[in-house]
Amino acid sequence: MLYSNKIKSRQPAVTCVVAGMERTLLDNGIEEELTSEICLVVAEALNNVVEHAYKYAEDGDIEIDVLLEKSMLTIEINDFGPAFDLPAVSGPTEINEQQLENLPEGGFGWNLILMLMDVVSLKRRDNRNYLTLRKKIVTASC
Amino acid sequence: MKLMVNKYGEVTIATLEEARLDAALSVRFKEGMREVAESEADDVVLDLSQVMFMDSSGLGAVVAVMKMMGREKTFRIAGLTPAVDKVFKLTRMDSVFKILDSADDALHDSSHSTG
Repeated sequence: MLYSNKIKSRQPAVTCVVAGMERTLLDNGIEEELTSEICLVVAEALNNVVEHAYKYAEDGDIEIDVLLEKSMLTIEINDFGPAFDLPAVSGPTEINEQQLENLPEGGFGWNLILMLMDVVSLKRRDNRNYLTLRKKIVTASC
Repeated sequence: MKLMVNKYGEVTIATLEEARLDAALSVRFKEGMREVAESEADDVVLDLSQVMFMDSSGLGAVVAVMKMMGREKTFRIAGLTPAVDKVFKLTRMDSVFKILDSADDALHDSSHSTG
């Protein structure tokens, strides 16, 4: 187990998890660029739970476990929010820069997760959503 | 939230003195920038050179700030660190912003008014 934490569904707690994971990944020889990508994915996944699963209620439980086995990094995030389906990969949002007022301010999260991870899967068990994210990684010190 | 706003002649530079622009900070960041948008400053540069991490909530906040500035003001962003630059590129939002390597470029550059 590389990293494990249990938090309440609050945005400052998400900030702490991302900062903690960043230190752990760097300490384990994962290069800076990859570390920042993984931290971004974890932030997006946790923000989704805070915003959509718990709808900003601050007493929801979220568990995060990160494993590194050989060269496979696995991140498991679970919550007690309502069941949902993974969105399909839609690619980057079409942007018309002439329409300033219509530029998107959100909806980027799932696309970033799907673009940056190799495997994204979702299971529903015991009233919980289990999101599993996997990425093959190269460590700097091998 | 630490946001330092300095005026250099025509140019106003707002420097976000935070290492993270994420969901926890984005609302306060927008409030801080709203004051700049509602001021008389009409050439605004947002210096993000101290920001080492930005998530899509942070990106959404920067987009919201550009909208607040409207079409009358010039709004540019500057000093994107590699992790921040990547979020702009992956979402293709790099194509909608005027991006400077450094906020200092705004002070030495007289050709900024691209219309």
